[in-house]
Amino acid sequence: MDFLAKLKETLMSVLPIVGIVLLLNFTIAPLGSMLWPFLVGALMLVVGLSLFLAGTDIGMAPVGEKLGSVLAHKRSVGFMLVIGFVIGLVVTLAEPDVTVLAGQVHSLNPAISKTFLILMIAIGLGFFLCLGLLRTVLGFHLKWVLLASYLLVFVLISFIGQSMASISFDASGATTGPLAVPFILALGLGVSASTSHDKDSSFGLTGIASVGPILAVATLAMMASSSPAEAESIVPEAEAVANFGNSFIHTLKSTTIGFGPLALIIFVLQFALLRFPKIKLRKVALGIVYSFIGIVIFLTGVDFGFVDVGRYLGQTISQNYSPALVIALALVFGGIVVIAEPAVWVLTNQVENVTAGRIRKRMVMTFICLGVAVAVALAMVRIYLRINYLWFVFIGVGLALIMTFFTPALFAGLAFDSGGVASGPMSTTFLLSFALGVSGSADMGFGLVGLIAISPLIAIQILGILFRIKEGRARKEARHASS
Amino acid sequence: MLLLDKQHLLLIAIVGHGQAGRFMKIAKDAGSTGGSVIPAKGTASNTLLRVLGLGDKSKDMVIMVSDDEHAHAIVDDVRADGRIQGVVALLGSKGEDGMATKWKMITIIVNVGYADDIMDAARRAGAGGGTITHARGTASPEDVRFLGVPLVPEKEMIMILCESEKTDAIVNAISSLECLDEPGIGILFTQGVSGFMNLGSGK
Repeated sequence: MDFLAKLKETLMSVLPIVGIVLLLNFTIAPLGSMLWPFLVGALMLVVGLSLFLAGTDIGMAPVGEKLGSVLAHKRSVGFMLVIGFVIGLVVTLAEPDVTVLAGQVHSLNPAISKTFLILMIAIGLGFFLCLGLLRTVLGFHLKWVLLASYLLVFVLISFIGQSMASISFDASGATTGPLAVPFILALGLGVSASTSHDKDSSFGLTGIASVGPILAVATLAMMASSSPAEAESIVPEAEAVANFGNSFIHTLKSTTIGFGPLALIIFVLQFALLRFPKIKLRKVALGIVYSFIGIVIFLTGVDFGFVDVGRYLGQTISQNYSPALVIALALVFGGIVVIAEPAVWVLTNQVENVTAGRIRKRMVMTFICLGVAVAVALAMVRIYLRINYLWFVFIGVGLALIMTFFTPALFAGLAFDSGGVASGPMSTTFLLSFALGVSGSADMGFGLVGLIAISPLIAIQILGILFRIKEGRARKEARHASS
Repeated sequence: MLLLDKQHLLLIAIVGHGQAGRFMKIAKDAGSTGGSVIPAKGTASNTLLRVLGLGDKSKDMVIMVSDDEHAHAIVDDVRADGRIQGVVALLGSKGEDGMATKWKMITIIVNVGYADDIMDAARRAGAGGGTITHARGTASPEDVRFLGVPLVPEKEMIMILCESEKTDAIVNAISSLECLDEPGIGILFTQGVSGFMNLGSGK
């Protein structure tokens, strides 16, 4: 909200990465000609992120919440599901990352048609978004929905090999772009605020929705062939080396393609359902424009300044120094890079709002950082030891599912939401290129994003359990004091 | 136990986001028995930011009930501390009902989404600023349900402090807003404010 305060906050969140990279620059990995693009990129991150967050507060968030509230108050299940499905479908079909991902799948397993896959992912997301909306209205506990969905995922991925499995997990991250996530988060909040449950069902919509793409890719991979060609290396099309103009045009194009249809839907909904009054409408429109400009600046900065640096650091350090240093560095990078993820900020702000400050955003942020730090370090370990990706999925997600029985319901929803949120543009670019630089080949680098998405599931639920213990103790003390 | 022997006041303070803790601590030291903190949104006076749509600021609203003597002690101590920025208002005057007060508080409770338009109209009619909080209504008697789950009407509560003589103009401006024509959209009421002061040394 307060734009200057936001600028300060985001500056503080980008400074740690800049500090570490500069430190490396002056010690073991001089950046040379990459230094200036990196610094310019960092500055763009700060400006872009602030603008994006300020815009989301007054634009995407109120639209999502209002839509959620209107959908509930219409009191028609069919209507809610149709709108939910259409939104899910459109958001996915338009997302450029999904097209890239479909390309990867196609090259791994030519039997799968690209168009059909994109369609399946979109239907998967739309379907699970509806499922998530229904469960929010009914206040049904998240754990049963997730348990059923992930058991199905487990069964499917044990048949399809680890490359496909890791891609299907990456699919959930790719589907929801940085502009769609805040919208879906707010939609969940709106529906849950209109139905008189406690705060427990406020979160979880994004978490449920992101199962859809995983299932879609896994199902297709299983049907298409029982033994897919294992990992002929697929490097994402080598983007031209950092060139400001190219980065900007590329980002502007993909963001517009991804965001345009959603903006169109919102425009139509304003007349049909939302009907914001004059001044509010102006503010909302401004907010959406700010978010859009902000995210374009942010992504351009990342593309221009961070991708090459990440790859270079990964290569140089892994070639010249011991794996221990690489793993330690990965731990640090993981922890501090995720602070600059746009959607993480949106989510943690909403937590504070929904709980009226009872759960502090700093606390949630800290645990997401810890989780991602461990995830990125583990990804490096995995590259060195060549561990099968499936182990991480089975153990990580399995543990997360078991924990839903012990953690407070609000935290369970929050945890599964933050999974998709943590694997945003910073991890898919900077961290991924660092991992690719270390591994030298693509097949081991993939799966990093999936690991980043899994780690907050566990970290946030640990926070939830700690929170429950602490509150229990406080309540006991209060009872003692009053008796 | 009902405390009828002393005159009690409602103290409402609107302070910067995160300053409520400090406020409560000072208030407790000054003899307050406790209070509630509600997250709120303030609408800034900076015109440029407002035109750009970036004028909102996160605030904390502190509400506490206190007797006359302690209420003034609390306000004095908070002012002496000087680190908390915001405003504080005391509602409910000392047995002098009906006496005209210099300041008034206008409270509007409406369906969610109208606060910006209301603040815009109020400001045109002379209001300096306002504070917005989220609330939920409970009045609907026929308990509207969706899939067996009762639906909650979401509300926004807007509080505006203004000089008494401006009250009528502001109230008229708000009630003649086109978007508030719909019946049942919300309510508006005014209260006399017995004490009102700015907190913080200004810097």
